[in-house]
Amino acid sequence: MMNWWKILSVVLILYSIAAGLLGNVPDLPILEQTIRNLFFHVPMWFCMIALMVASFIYAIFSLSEKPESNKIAIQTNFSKNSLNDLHSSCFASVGMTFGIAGLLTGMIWAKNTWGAYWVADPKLNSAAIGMLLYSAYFVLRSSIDDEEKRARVSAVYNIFCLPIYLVLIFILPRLTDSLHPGNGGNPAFNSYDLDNNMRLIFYPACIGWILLGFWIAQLKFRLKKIEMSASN
Amino acid sequence: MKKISLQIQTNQLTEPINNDKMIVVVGVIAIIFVVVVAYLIHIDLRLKKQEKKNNDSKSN
Repeated sequence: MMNWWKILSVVLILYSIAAGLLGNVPDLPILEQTIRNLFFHVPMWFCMIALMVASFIYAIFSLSEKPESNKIAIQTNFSKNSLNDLHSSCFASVGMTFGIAGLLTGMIWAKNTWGAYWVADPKLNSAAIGMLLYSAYFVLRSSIDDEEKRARVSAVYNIFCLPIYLVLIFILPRLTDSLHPGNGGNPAFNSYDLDNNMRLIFYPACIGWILLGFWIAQLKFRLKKIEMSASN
Repeated sequence: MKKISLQIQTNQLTEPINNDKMIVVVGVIAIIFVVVVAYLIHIDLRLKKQEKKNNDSKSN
């Protein structure tokens, strides 16, 4: 069965919603019941990163194809380059959506634990800069009309974007003081979860949301491909 | 600058506040999610049909 992973994603997310909101969680000061947001906030970012890595890989594929060997997909009327570029942009756009969801769930969490939706924290600011970097990717794409040129320029930008984004969200916040768990000397959540109760919900939630992200990106790709073939 | 790492360790678990209300909340969220998934399945099937139609028209 080809669609097992789609069913798995739905089952895992439903499980994480039910177990995440109704199950027992560690009794911690300040965090209290908001610790349940871990099952929603972190998987959104993991999903975004997974989709951006997929976008990065397709960007490399797109650049590695020689223009003269492009007319191989006769039955679909598409060059391999344009399909790789389409894949790359679809993964990036769905990744951005999950990034926005990650920001929103983080803001709600911040309001309930730190007292403000946004604080001048290196982790938060880096995440915002990272999102702006990817927003520029879409602006760049929409500014180039020529399909071949757009694919190449946006693939180059995408390949630069991911390492910078990873440095911004994983390395820079660790070098300075930060309120965010796992950064600036703060313990990450694995040190709170002493009896591994949360891991039983957290890992399925991450897998479920990542699979759902890939499903949505795949649908977007297929839809765009049909639109492109209709316009050709 | 010296960094101070505060590690809180606890084995004590806590249940959700107001469990009955939480069941209703979980139910509502689950229904919204199922509706979204139903929409995704609808798009998936529609695209499959369209792809099949396109392939058939190309092979003829």
